[in-house]
Amino acid sequence: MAAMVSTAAPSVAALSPGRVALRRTLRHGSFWAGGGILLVILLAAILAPLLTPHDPTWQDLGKRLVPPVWDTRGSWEHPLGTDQLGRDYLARLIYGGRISLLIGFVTVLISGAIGTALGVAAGYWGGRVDLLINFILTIRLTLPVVLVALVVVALVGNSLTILMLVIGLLLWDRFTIVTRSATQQMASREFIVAAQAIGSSTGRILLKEILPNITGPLIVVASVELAHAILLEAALSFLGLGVQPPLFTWGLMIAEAKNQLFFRPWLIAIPGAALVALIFAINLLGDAVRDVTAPEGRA
Amino acid sequence: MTAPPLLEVRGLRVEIPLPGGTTRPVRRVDFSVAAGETLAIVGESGCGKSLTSLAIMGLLPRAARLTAEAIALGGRSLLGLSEAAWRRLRGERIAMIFQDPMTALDPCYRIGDQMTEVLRQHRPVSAEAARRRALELLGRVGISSPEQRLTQFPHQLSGGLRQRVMIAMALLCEPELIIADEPTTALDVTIQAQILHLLAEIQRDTGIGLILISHDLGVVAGVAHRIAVMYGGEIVEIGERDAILGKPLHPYTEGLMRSIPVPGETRRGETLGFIPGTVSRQAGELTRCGFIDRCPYANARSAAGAVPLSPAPDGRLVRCVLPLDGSGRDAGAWTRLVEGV
Repeated sequence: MAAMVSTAAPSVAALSPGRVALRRTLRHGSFWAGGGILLVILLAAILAPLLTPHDPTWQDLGKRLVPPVWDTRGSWEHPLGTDQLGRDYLARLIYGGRISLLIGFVTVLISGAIGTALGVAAGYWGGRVDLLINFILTIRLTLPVVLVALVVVALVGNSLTILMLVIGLLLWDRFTIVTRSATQQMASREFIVAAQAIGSSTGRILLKEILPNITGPLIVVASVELAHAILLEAALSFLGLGVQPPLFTWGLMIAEAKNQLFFRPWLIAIPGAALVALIFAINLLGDAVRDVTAPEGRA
Repeated sequence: MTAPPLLEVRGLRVEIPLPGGTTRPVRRVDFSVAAGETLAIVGESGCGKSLTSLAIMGLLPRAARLTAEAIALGGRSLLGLSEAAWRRLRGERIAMIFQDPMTALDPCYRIGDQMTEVLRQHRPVSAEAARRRALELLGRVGISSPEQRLTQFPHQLSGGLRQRVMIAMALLCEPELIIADEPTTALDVTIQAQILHLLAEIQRDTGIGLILISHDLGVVAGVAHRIAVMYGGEIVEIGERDAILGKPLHPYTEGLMRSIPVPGETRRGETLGFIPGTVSRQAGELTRCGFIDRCPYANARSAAGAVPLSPAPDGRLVRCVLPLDGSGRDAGAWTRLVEGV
């Protein structure tokens, strides 16, 4: 590693900062691994109709529980087999990933916005603001997420929008905790006082000095929370509180397959493996992005 | 009637209420700075130098309470200004240079972006004009290849370069007053001299007022016109540089001077002068001389009451009960005090 750095150093000076950042990104192993897996899953979700001729909801009861192609009884017509109702499992996997990803990204946007706003406010102003936000945070932490989701779904009914809102409104706690302490560290740094000393307004300091300096931890939390939200949705769907048929996600596929666990394990293993791969990829990518965007790491 | 000084500070006090009682880090500070003048504020850590400068900028920590008879810039009072008015003032009319250039620049922005942002916050100039002005000032503070520096991030610059950038940033809006809070403390000695020289040169060329805060009398000796020595939240001696450095009248100034090694006189192995003790905690009101615990000449009158600033024959002000012509001092007192520790 040290050898690489020293040989690269002379040419770096001639490169523009953007090119340097790009080079650093392209050299990052986790970036390739995580980004590659995520790209495959995203492309599959976007290009779903092109990848499989089957309709994921079309039932063919004559062809129930066909095993995947690697089984001796499998065929290329249904590469991943079919489920209990004779629906093509590859098509369900691809289309189910769409909803899982949608839920993940939308809820992270919601919870990230709420959590970051609260965390930055608490960290920057401190004192009573901090006390109040910590109080709200403590209340939030006492709420069992699954139970709250259950109550909300029971009271307001179940829909994709409500599910995303519930998860988004519940998962902001880590954003707040991390951005609060990151902001506290930043707020005591001299360049913040320096920004005040040149006449910057508070809003400007928060948006243009604090926020860019805490993007590193923010991206890492966002990646963790993206994975968390997707897993939570899977858990809720597994409990029957998540998306409802005819919509389906990987979590619901696992739920539907749980009776077949011992007899046809691929029904649960396939969506399970997809979920693991997605979460793994997101975490790898989060790490890589943090490494590349950290200001100290820029050259 | 003479024109008002550029900056006038009268009766400045800063108090910080703490659970264990109120501390008074700045007790009574009066001074003024004229345009084209460099005032050095000197004193050891914790004597209230930095809080004084933050008070002038209106940037005291939230917990601190400020009272003052007057703080006026160019004859206009700064007391009770709204936050918006302060913002227009800061950077535009008073600029500040911070101690540690390593942390005073935002690591997220290129030098050029940081500099043009300052200018464009205060003036309706185009991005191109702001860039030209930044280039011009980077050249002015002696940075070679300024075009390249504009595109670099702070961590790519050395400490001396960053402090030059800070000085260039302070000059962007042509302020009337620059406060430099320990501008050379974080730099190594050769760079220190360059930066001080640069500050003095800019001050001479532009005719701004400069407040130079330092704990090192040696640092300010070369550039200051006047020196204010602070101890325990008070100014204990203020006057022309040559008068103070030539013959310090306050025992604290005397102690500071004895602590500076002199080439040719200080011999190897010889104990360098120092002032035994530390700054005492600044709680209640002063009822005696603030320096009494560490003063080699302290007498009954030092304990009799708070000591006012009194004028010495050469025009400087000294906060001491000793005769201000320099008499009545026992020459061996310092040696005995130092050896007694």
